[in-house]
Amino acid sequence: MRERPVYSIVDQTVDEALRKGTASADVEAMILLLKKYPLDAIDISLPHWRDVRIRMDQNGLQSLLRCTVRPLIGDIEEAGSFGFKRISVLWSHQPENASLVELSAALTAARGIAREVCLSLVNASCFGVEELLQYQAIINYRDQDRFIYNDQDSILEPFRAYRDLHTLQQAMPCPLEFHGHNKLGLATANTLAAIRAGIGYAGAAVAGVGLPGHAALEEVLMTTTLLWKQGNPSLGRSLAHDAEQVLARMGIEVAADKAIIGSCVFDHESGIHVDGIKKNPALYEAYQPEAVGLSRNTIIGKHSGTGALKQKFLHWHIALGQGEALQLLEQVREIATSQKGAVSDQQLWQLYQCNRARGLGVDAAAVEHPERGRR
Amino acid sequence: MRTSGIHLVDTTLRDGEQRAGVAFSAEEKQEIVLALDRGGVAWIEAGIPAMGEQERDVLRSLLSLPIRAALIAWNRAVEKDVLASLACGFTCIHVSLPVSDLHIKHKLKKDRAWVLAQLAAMLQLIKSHGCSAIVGAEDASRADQEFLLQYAEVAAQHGALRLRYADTVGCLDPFMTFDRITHLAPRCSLPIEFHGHNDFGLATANTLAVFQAGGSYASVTSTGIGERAGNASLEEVVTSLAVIHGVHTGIALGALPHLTNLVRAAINRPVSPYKPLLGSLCYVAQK
Repeated sequence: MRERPVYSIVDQTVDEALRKGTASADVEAMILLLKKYPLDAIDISLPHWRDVRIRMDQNGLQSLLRCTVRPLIGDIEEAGSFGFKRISVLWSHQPENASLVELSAALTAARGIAREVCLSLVNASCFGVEELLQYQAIINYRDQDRFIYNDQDSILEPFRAYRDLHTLQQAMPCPLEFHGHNKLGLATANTLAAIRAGIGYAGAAVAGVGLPGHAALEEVLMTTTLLWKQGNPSLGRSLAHDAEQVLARMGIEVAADKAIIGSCVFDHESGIHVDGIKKNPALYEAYQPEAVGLSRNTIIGKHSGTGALKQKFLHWHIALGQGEALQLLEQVREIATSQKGAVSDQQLWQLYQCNRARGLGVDAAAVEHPERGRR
Repeated sequence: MRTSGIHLVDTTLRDGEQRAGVAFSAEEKQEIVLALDRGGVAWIEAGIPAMGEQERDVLRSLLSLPIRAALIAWNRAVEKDVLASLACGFTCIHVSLPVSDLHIKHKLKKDRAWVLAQLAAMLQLIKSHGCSAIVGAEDASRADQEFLLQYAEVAAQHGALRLRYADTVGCLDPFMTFDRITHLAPRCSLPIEFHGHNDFGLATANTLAVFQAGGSYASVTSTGIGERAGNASLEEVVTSLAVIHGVHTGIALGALPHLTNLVRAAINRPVSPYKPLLGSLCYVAQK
């Protein structure tokens, strides 16, 4: 039986925005949007914060922002001078050089400044659990500390993620966080596996942005909410719009077919699907578009059937006969193939008018284009 | 994971083209088939002959290409559709019927017995022409798994090559997928082909889970194009199998960029710079 997932997101979107040089005002607007979702922290790489003009003492930012630093005293002191109270120390494990003196000194320095100190093992997935357990002692200092399992090279798959993190979770004296990367398209699945294993904190970014990419925040949230039926189902009601706004602040357009938030993920063209949707949307949709703030669209194109054409014309208060619909369908397929894309409403209307003019259509006298009065 | 007996079926030209607003030209289809074949893809779902004479002309041109890969015609389990595929010259015929009660009741307005009888009739028709059949189980992930086994048994009795388990609305995660296939594979007399959709961003991971659970085949599309949020990506599945599991599918990693470029040019839509393996920023990140 699946454990109940209780987790919070550690955002990676803002850090990518800062890397891209997004203006401070836009970053602040992004943060306001992201705060609608279950955020534990927003990660900021120290070098990305140097040119930022955002006051940390407003809107609860100080409790939300977490600075990621190298295990260097200079970096840690600089993070402290900016006002960060949450610090994540990046560390690369080297089995041949097991000395943790440098790391220990860095963590001690960080603890002198920050209320929360995390140890982020960037290459954790390169090693088995046994190897990682040597960090038990060094992290077991106080309740606020956290161990971050990082899959920097994207070499993890969900079953190993579950197994290793479940074991590690039981052995580590502190909370665990999972930070997946997405070179191979598995970050969302790995992050969900970590949540399934009981990990309470998960790194993610809107649309998975980042270098290398991360788990997509919207995919993680909606899988747990809509697929696993855990959490508040109304959480996603404005998700697509919020994600679009967040990415727009970064100068990024959402890919039309991006799972959960793409503008076209509820577009239906093929005859079988349009017919099915008309009978019962659940036939070809895992969830209602409204659940993420999107809407359903019927596209007329090469794969359309007569049912879609009839439906479209009915919307225009015209009842197409079967013969007329078949004739139009043939023309639609020809046009869609030659222009390599969907047939617009205007094109469809022109086809209909031409057919009527040639006397090939039914008697449609006095029929006006439904859009005419609105233009 | 085992290191052999893993096969991919490319459906870029069929399910990929069914992405709303996409239409490939005849030349693009020919180039994509040649690129898939050169890359080592052994099974290519080429299209739907029932779509009309113009489409059949294109499909005939694909059948005449000098390739090793087997070309498959996709069909609803409807006699006129199957006859169109046979007349077109295909010898490998995919027939699909829904197997979930939701689809059987609300879409077909039939019952389970009708589905089994229709499948048997179509398979007899295909067999009578000396052709091979692949059986699609639409919406298998929401079907009663015992009925799915009955459906598979009818397919096996009529000599089908394999059973396609379609996660039609992409409602599985890797753990559910693993459980389903682990339960099904030992009891099913046909090899199982998984067909994953990406509605929750999990199609690639689900496809890998199938191979870990004992499935032998999976269908994929180049760049992951397909209906709604798309299908499992050929590029991600092949690369993940190689990098994470050390499994070589027979598909050359070096052939993928050419194929990907062809498909991207043919669909003429921007790819997210962050898309794994394909996005412009991913190249930077991997250097």
